[in-house]
Amino acid sequence: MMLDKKICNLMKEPINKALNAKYMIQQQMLSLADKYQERTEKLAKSYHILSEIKEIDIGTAPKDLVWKDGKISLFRYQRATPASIKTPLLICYALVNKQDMMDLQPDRSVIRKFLDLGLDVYIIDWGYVTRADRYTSMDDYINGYLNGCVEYIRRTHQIEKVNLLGVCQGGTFSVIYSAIHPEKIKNLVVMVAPIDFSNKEGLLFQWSTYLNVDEIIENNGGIMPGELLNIGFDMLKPMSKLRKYTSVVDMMDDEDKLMNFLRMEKWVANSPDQAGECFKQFIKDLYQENKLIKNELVVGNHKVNMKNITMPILNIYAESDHLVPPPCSIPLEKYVGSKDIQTYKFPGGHIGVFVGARSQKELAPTIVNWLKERD
Amino acid sequence: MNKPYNFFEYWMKDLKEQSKTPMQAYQEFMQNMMQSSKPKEEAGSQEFFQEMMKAQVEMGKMWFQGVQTIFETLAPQKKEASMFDSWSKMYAAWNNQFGKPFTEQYTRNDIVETFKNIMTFSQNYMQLYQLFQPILEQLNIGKKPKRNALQEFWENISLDKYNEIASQIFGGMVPKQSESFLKQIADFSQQLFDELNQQTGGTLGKALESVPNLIHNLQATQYQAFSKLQKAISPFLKMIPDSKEKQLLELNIQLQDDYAFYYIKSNEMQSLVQKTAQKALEKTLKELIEKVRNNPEHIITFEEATNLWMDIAEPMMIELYRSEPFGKLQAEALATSTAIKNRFEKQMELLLEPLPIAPRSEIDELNATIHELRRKVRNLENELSRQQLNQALQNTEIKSVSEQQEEKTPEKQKKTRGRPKKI
Repeated sequence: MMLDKKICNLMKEPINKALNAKYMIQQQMLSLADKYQERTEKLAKSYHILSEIKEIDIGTAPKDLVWKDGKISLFRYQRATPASIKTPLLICYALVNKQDMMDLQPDRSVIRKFLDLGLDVYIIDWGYVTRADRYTSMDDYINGYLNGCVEYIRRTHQIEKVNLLGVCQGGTFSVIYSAIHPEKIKNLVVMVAPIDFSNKEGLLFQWSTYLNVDEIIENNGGIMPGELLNIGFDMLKPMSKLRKYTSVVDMMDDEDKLMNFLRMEKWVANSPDQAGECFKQFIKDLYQENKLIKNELVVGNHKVNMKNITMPILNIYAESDHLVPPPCSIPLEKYVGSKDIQTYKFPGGHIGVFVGARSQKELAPTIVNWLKERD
Repeated sequence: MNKPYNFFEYWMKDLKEQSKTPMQAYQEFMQNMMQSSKPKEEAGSQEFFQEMMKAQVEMGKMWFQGVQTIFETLAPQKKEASMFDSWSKMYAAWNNQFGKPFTEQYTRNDIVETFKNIMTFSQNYMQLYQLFQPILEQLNIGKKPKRNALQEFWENISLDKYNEIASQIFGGMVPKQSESFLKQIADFSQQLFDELNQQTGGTLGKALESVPNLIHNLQATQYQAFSKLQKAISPFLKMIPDSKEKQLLELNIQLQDDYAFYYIKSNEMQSLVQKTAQKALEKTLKELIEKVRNNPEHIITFEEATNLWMDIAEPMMIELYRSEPFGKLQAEALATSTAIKNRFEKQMELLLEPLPIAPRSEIDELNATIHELRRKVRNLENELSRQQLNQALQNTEIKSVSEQQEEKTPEKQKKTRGRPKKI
């Protein structure tokens, strides 16, 4: 009897532990059928909530179309009060994706912040490329359309120089433009832009090495399909889709979070095709041969000499940028002729520069103050 | 819904049933379009687009009816119609494999797309659950795992199932679609071959008896076989006078060659992806076992396991994508897949030749001219704008100088006037 009791006591602890563990497992590890049921319920709920949504609105800050050439449009944002900084700012976004990222939603909008802080803001919309635009070259974009926008602003405001802000590929374009037409640019702001393409840290930089871009463009009817680019962008963070789409079903009840998610989805999916000629030169001369920093790039009839860039420059890069890694952006200061150049490190990723909380609180005021000091 | 490759039969039947002329059909289409584009207060955007899509499908239907009629009128032997049908089966099989980048644009609904993605990745999520659940049940029994736990788990895992999940998440070939494409390509080649054989009075067929069943056995052949096919056929092709069928067959041979190359490169890529994904799973299991070994009471949830797997797999996959072999394979596969698309387009142009339709190559020539003219106009406009601005700035400068002078003049005058007083 005593022995039995002793044995019981000895066994008590492991039995309790095992029972406890079993209970925990039951709580946390649902059976496959239960898990399916749980998931199906969440999906059904998601379907219901999503089907109720009528519209996903992005890029809503009021603006007016002021100039148009073919598919390229120039917009001027409306201001309630006169601008406190007299030189207008022209924003040149990348050809990849759309400029709406800068005004994703009212509380995540670099544009609205710029307007609040007294800037007169213009923005270029590159439109949507079709096969008819297959011959549109880098020269057309930079010396044609971008120059057309600059000319419009100069003419309208009767000024010699404008402030130019280039984003990502638009930043590279802005640097090239400033080297060709330095007399038209007062201050240059460059955001997350690839300048030195020799660093192969970024996957895009590595992949482009092996790309037979002439063949791909020719076979695609003279354009680079946006969907194909998106496949490449998805591969940069291979798990991000699995993470986001499996977790989004848990945030369906939070309308703000859901709408934020859907706005971002809308922006990501809106990936225009690229004009073949321009894409070819961008890949071959920049990604593959890194001609910009070697002063070997030729755009149209212009040889691009970075030393011609003598205006003040604010170069912004994102610390955790996986699309344009910092070593591709930072070296700008080494190659330009400007004596007034400031490099700004943004703690975040490529997209965080526009939509992160710090972007509104810190980055936008930094840009505006920098421009104000040089107005 | 009719399968795309049956469209000719379907439209033919439809046209007969409705006994409409293409013009009547077109008028109807226009009415439908007008109807659907009227704003409907009660309808949400989804309904509106659905109607638009319906109208577009109708338009496609009408168009093909028209094409069919023209084919029948212009092609006395009706061979184009059947050739087009056969070719379209092949094209549909290719599009089925590649999806959107190679099909025509359609109206996008962001919410529908998002939900589709949620569904797809939920399926992956559940497949992962199925994979991890038995392992986690074994790990969560409150005991230290056995020494050979990893080996046991590894033996019990269905690697085929896991590879399937990895291919879905990281992208890869679907063998069934590939088979279907090869079947269609073989059928089309056979049809072209029969046509050419007739044209040469059976000579081509007799000569090719030495390469038995080559065309019909394409699905089973390796890449080398396609090169052999090219080598075997090319001398006979030289004997045949130039014709549309000959060009089509030549393109088809190149197409088969490209596809075989593409298939091999894609499989090599897939193999690299699967190997890396397997390494990631092995590492995940090791870490999970180690966790329980260090703390047997710790209950590992599915979320913890999948998060660990994703954290381990992501950098490994990025490393693979960064590697030279993967980069080269990817570039080759991409270039070849677009070359296939290009050959399809050339074939389409040949097949549509008898119709009064401007082919893309002609439109491209026009685009080049338009582009050049636009550039010239833009340069002139920019020059004019620059001159106008300079003039305006000069005027402003002159104005401000004269204003300054005007401002200075009275002072001077005052001074001049005052001077004598001073004196």
